[in-house]
Amino acid sequence: MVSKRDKKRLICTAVTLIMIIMGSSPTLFAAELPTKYKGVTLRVIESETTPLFAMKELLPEFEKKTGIKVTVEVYDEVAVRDKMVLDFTSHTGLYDVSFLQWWFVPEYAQAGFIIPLDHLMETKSIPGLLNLDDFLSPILEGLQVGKVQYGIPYWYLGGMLYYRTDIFDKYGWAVPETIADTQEILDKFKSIKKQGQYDKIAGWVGRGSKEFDSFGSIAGFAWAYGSKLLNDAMEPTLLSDPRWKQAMNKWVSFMKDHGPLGAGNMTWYDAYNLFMEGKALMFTETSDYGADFTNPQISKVTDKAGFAVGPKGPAGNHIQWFYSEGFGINSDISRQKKEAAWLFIQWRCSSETQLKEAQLKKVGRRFDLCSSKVLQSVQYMEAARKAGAEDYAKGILETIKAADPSYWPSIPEFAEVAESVATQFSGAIAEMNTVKDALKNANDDVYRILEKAGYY
Amino acid sequence: MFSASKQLKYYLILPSIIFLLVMVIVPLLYTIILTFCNYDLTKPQQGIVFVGVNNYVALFSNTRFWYALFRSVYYVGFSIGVSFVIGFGVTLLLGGTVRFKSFYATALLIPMIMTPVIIGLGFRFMYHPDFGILPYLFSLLGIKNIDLLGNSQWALISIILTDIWQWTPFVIAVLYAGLGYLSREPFEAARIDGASHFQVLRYITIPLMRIPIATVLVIRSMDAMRAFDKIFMMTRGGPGLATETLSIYSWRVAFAWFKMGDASTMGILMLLIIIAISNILVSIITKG
Repeated sequence: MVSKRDKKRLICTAVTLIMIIMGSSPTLFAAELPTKYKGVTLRVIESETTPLFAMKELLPEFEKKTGIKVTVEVYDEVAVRDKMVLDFTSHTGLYDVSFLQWWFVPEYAQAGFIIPLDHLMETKSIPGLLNLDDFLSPILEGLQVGKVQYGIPYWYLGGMLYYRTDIFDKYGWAVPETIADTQEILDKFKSIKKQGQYDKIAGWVGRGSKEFDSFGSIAGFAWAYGSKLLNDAMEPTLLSDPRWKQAMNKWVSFMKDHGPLGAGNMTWYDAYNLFMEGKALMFTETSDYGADFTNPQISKVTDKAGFAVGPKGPAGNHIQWFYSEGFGINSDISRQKKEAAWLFIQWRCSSETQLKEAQLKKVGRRFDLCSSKVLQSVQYMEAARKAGAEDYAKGILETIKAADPSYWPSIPEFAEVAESVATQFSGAIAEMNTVKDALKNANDDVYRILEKAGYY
Repeated sequence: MFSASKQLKYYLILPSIIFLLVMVIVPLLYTIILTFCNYDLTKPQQGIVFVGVNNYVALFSNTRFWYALFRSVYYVGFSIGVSFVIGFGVTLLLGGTVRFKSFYATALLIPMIMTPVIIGLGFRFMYHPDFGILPYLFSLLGIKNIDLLGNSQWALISIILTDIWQWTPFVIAVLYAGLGYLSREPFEAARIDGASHFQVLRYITIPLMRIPIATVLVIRSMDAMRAFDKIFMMTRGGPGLATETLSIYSWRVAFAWFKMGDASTMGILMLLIIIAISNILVSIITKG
């Protein structure tokens, strides 16, 4: 017969064993998540993008561990900015954590809409949860203003070349490493098309529309020629730097002479769809399309899509498409919620969470992560291999290594400046004006905008 | 001072006056004030700064504004001109002896009751160079490889044609109602006197219908000047500036760049233009 004392010992031993087993479960974080913010509700606003779907799959685990309730409001990219600015300017404090697109961070930071995170990083970080050394410095710099960190990234996109491996293999073409190589392939493809083949396939697609995001394609292409929009005196260089003319002549030629009809109105979504439908030979774009292009349920080029880092231009720079997204904390947040928000951001952007995103079964799974520690890990490549996205995953790592945001005009007036430039080159692609006129008009517009903003 | 019945009248219209003040007068006055201020929502530290007429000077010296204004006027002229001619023609046909008149009159109103956003989206697909029905029909006529919305010369015209498709039924509805109220005697007297169809149209129908004609032209010009939904859905003002009207430009200034002073200035100028066009149309048509 077992005595009461022995029963107690047995129960304690069993509980201890169970705790040890649970502690070694792969679903637990290496870092212990605190529960002192239990009962706090955080309101997060985010755009409807792939990281959102991944986060939603993993969020229940965070909520269970910390007791923090996270409500996520989701809108499209345009509406989310409207909502955020309205909340910021009216100080309603509707949102605690805001999704930050790196190109708007200077604007929000200057206006005091979001708070610097440096103090929280130094004093309220959970050991072992978020290690900033896991991110390459250009990725972190994307969410900095004057070396002050305003956001932590969970998504980085670089300039990636997508191309049709079947057509390349058929004609024995090597993956273009330079813009000159790209031009050569496009010319050959055009000749082949004239013979009646591939008449439905455009040689080149890209963002030709007048929207501000097209600036990313224009500026990234110009950087391959060594051109930046603004010089050290913050003056536009579209007229003073002859490399701009070379770059834009090439860009407009790619879009107009090798692109599909209506290239002057083409958005990223049009270019993405054309390639996925098998109607484009190649294009350089942000590096987040690979998972879709290799998804047999939606893509017609599942086993025909190739991925490489963006070709280099005459200046030796890769064609860039630097884009970073992350979370920041709104300035109207209460002190208690601030620490809870910082815990949420640490969890969301941690390497551990990012690896779990790559290991998701299907819904939310993504490989376009921004932790170089994860991207170089065996587990990540194994997950990519299982999903049939190994080539894409390797391409992601190459684009991250090539990340270089130094060409970007990180200024609060970005939205107006970018749209003014994109409008002119959209017109050049649609033959409303010449590249020379587009350069002059864009230069004048940018100067006028910055002059009014008090730069000179 | 006022009798009880007079007081009651004022009390009964008070809610409408409050509504008008809150929803129309006050916002309008605030907008007018903002036209004399520099107000950038993304620069709250600067606040609302009085700058006099600087916003107007900056706007008038902005070539993009003049391009947008030209396109708006072009849009208005083309749209109401064509929709009026077609609408008036159909009205005259319906006014004659036509079988299944009620069916035609009802069916013709369908485009008018659809939301402009849906029409814009629908026509964007119809114009699509790869799978749109319109390029396909053009290809049957031997016109291949056509992208109307991506062509700087045809994009605005394509959008205007969509606008005409939607709002010609409105022209028909108003003119048909006007035609129905006309007395028969002048027409019968004219026929007895041997007047031709064209003479009846020129000297009797059009003069008698000048009020409904003025009404439809004023309302259509106001709508066309403010046209936004279809342009936004179909091209967003592109390619380049090919389809950027004042409404699209002012939306961009207000809601993409958050420059409320500049956007208010454009809004007030649009209002003045619409008032001017309406007054001119009414005075020309109702003269005598």
